[in-house]
Amino acid sequence: MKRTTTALSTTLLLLALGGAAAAQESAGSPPPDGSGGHFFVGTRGLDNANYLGKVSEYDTARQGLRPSVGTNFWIQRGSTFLDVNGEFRGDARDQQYGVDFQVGRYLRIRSYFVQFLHRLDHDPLKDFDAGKGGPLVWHEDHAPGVDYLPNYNEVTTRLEFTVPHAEWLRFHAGHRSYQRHGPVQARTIAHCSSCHVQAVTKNIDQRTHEFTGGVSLRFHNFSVDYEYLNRQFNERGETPMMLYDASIHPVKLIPIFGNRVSFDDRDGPLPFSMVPDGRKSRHSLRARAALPGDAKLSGAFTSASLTNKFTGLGADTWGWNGKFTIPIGKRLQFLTRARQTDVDADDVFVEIQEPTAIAGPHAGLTYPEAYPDFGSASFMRYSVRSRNRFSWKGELSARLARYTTLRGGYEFIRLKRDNFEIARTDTNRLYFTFYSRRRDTVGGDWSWRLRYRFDDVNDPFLHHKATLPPALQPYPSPNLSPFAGLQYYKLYAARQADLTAFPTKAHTVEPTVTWMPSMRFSASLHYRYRNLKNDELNRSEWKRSVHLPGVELWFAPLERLDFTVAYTFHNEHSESLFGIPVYDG
Amino acid sequence: MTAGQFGSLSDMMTYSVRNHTAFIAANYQVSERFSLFANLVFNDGRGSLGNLELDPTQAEGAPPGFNYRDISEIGRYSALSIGRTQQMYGFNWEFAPNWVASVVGYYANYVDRHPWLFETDGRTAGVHGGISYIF
Repeated sequence: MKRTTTALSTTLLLLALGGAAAAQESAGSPPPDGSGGHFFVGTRGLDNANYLGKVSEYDTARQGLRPSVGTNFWIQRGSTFLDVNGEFRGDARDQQYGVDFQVGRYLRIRSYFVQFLHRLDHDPLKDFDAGKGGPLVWHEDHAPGVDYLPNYNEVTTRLEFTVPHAEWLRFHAGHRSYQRHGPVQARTIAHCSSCHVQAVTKNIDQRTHEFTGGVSLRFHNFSVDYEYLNRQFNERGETPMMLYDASIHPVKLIPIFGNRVSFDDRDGPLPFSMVPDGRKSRHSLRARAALPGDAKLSGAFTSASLTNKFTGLGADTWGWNGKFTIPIGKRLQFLTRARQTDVDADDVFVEIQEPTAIAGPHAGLTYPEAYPDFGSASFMRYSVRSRNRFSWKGELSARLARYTTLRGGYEFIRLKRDNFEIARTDTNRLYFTFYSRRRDTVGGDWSWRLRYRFDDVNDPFLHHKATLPPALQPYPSPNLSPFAGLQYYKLYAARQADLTAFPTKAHTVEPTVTWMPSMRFSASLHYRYRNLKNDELNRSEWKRSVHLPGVELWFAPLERLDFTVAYTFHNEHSESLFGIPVYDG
Repeated sequence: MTAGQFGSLSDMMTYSVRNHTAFIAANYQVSERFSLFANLVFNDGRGSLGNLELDPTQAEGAPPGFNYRDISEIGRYSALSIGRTQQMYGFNWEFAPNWVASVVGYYANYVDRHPWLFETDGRTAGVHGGISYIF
């Protein structure tokens, strides 16, 4: 989430700091004893026009002049180091501060605070005017003219401790707190009778606290890292209430549709746009080992638990991965890696209230009583998040010559879903990367890289029976009654065509060429091409192609003058079946 | 279905996206105490649905008052066309030992050529300047 103001101010500060910052941040050995920094005071003047929600989405961008101050101070004494920085850009919603403090080689504390706003759109709902007008589709914005500018602030602190005289043992702890608060737009819709869309202002106050703690053991050929994370999310803001419309015929205004909705004005005001409290806990364990023969073995295990504190529902996730590499002779290296993730999300029985109609031919009847073949509105929701993913790959790297390498491999990915019509998707992947570099005193430095990947996918994710119902009632219902004739649930159940946005075959090619004929010029050309196709749908063929060429040039015509020019073109084309049922209901 | 249900209309529909992004940066160290810089970013993005031609004769009939042939125009209705520009120009001048004056001119413009929910065109321009003491 990078913002314009950040880029602007950072440019100023970095340029003002000049060589001091460069000296401080030089990689490698720590800077010698010393101190330095800067203090900046200035102003920021802006002139704005029209809507700022897009052009300054994360910027306060207040009209007129605002003060701006910033500072950075660092001091180094032996292995003790302190770095403090801060910036205030003339508005309490636009500031950031940080501190990095290291005491000897054993204790390091880093803390960071940032605050900014986020401009959200205010949907006037007028696009619904394009729908069928009159009493059938209408809208109300109960807060016209309100700007939705919630604030975001975050405080992150991390402490690292290395045990003196046992430097193989390290502990770390951290706390991250972030808050979103302020007004946002909340929308809801009343169905049957009219499609009545309403929008109100909702003041949110969402707070997240995240605690982490862990320990690391570092030995000569072996290391282990463990971390525990606990995250709590609470919404302290309001949950809006809505008194939904009576389920009446939108023209005749008779309460004949009372059994087609599970709630209406008879239930009184009801909450909507509610964000439930939640929590997450996670255990992570990683280990690495150097083996004889320059072989390396690493692995990780993660277990996480998510809980929705309002419903009590949750999901448990665990996963592991292992990786092994070993050189074969002087020019070859073999790598193998396996991963598995298992997600077990709670299933829940969704009990739908089944009110009766007040008037009309269904008076006194619930919808299932009026249409016995509909079954029950209540249902068991089996989570589609419950799944098991396993992958394995083997890869061989070869150093063909000096500055020339070839790497290729095969990967198998299996995805098993506990509760979905597409129960299993298998992917067979082949890939290779060729890299070469040539140094020529006449023609300059050249480097080439070519990447290719091919995926063959069996049974990718799709929407089964997504569109194209056949003609089921090519004549008006008796007396144009909505109660007689074809009902929606039969229309949906009769759809024939499957749809997807996932391929059965996918090719990816990425060539890159870099040329540096002199110390004052370099050029890089790159291209990314993807071709995806699914020709196993029952009624159509889905395709997508992506072309992404680009070029970067850097040149310095004078000793003190340089230019960087870059251009990227993104061209994407997709084809999919579009279907629309022909009816008036 | 009060007025009946006559099957479905369908066709293959395309979705096309074209984005152009260009970036230019220049740095000029005029002297040991004075430097100029400029950064410019241009982006033009377009996307639209298209190639849809629904033929009402595919269906066995149609309810009165519906014009399914017009739905073929959904591509024009959904077309996106956005232009964005960000420009920064400035200088740093070390006017005395340890004292640097910095000024950045900033300009950003956003143009939505096919507004959908509401007009989102916007422009912001200004100057960010000040003095730094380096120690």
